[in-house]
Amino acid sequence: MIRINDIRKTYYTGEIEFEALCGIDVHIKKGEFVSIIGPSGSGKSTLMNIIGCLDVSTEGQYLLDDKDVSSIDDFGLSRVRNEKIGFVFQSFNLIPRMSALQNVALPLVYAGASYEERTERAKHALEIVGLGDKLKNKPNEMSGGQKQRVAIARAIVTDPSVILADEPTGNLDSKTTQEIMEILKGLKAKGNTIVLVTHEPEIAEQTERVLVIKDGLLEKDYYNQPKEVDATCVS
Amino acid sequence: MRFLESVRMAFDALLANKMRALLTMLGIIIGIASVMTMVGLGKGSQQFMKGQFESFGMNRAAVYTNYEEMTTEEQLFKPSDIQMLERVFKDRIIAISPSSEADGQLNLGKKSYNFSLKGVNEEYDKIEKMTLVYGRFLNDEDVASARNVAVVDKKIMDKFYSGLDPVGKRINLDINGETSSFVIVGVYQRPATISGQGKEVFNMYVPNVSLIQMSGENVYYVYEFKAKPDSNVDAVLKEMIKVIERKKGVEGKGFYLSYSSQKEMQMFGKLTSSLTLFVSAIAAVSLLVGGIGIMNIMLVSVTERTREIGTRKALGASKRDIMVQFLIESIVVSAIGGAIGILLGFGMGTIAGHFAKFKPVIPLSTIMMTLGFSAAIGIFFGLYPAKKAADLNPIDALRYE
Repeated sequence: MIRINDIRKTYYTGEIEFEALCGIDVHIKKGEFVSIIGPSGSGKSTLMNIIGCLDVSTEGQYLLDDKDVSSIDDFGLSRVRNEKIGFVFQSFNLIPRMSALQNVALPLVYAGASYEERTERAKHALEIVGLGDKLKNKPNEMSGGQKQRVAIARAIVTDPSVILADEPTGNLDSKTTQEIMEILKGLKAKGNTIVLVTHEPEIAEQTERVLVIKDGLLEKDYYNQPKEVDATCVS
Repeated sequence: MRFLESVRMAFDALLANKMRALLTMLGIIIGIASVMTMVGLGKGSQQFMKGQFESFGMNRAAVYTNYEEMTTEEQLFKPSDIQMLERVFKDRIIAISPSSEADGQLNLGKKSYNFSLKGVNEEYDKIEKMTLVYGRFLNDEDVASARNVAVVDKKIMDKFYSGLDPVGKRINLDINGETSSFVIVGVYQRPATISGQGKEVFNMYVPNVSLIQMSGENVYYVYEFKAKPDSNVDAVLKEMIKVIERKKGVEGKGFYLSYSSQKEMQMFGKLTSSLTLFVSAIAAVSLLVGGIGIMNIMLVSVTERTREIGTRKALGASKRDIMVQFLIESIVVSAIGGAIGILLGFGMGTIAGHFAKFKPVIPLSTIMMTLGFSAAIGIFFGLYPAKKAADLNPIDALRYE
């Protein structure tokens, strides 16, 4: 699914050279729920940006669904993002003037789907996250948890290869955080591959596998006790 | 992404900020409205004037003496000069007539009315467009024997003869302090002309010789002619003046001036087109300012929506998608501004035309061109902000606060 071979990323700002990733090798299998954890400045965001095809590595190879995406052009990257990746952001990033349904349907607009198809699939995605009754609501009429659920619906509407969640619970209280985590676990149970970036160990604990990044290197890579995943269930 | 989808998105974005969109359009609206008004009035007045000149007579011209330069009476037109011209130009003109003018008063009790008398020959009805309502026009005998007869305007019949046929009636006028009596032989009607509209002046034609006898002159300051349809009236005029100058021995002194509807129309055309050009220049400045306004607001919009742009890019929008989205937004703003401007221009033109007594004319081609031009402004001034949006780095854009 995701195969990263000796990925390096160097930033050049003026005369200063900064190596954010110093050679990382990771293989994430289909259906895994992986968290990337590390302190700020560790390089976890850079790694996520590369996995999400928002950025390209300076060196190394990145295979997504057996396709080498480490050296494709800007347009190619936008297609990969559209077809294979579903983003969930810390600050939701919903478009304020659009309804929940329109927000969720947006990736399908860029996929070139017809209006009927978009509406159908967006409705279905909103039903999965339990917002089948909030199709017409605008983001400012919804709570933080609801907004994030809309964002998750938007991430899964294209049926992507991997769902990339960047601190998805960072702006939420503990109760809502748990709700979101349950939804993500439910998606994992349905066979989705999820990569979650966080700096909170309690969140990472709830995932199947943890990648600890420190100073641009993969420090640890371990599996949590499977019971934690199995014990959860989405209503 | 589909084009229509982009247009719908642009409308959504603009409707989210209606007031701002409207204010942004204002420059374009004012610019386009002023162009429309001016084009409409210019074209309308040109058509109106064309109609006026046509009623004056398209191949009609007058040659007159320049009072300021004239030195002796020798240089005025004598009957023999007119006869000579008639001979020389007989292939190219339909009719020629010396013309003189005099003012007269009709005194009825305490009231006095102004009459304008024009002394012409029997051919004059071929020069000036007129329709005889009653009687006949002046004939060669009237002219040859200087009879005191008159062909009067229908207005005179309506005012002084209760609209009844006045042929055979006498009319007594005070001319230069003396009373002259004219027998009415005909009544004519003329389409309304530019001058004398609404003014209470009564026109009549009398044999020129009769008028000369009254004023004591046997020379003319003016003669008029009508060229044949296939000959160029301005060329005939030029040649005629040369012939006259040669005969009088005053070549190249500019003693003789001329007037023709063609010449007048050219002058009028030049006037209106230079006026249109002037207003268009102002409008162009307004459009430029409007365009800069659009660019400014689009730049603000790109900055405000940086996160949105980042989000769209993360969801799969390509550079081209973002570029097209913002370009269409600016095109929609300027095209709607242009459309409002056209409507406003129509309205202002109609109101102005109401006062000017003619209809403004705006050709469809002008409307299409104007719409195209305002869309072009949208493209031109939208390009930079759209490019800026398209080139945003999605990572930075997503992190933008």
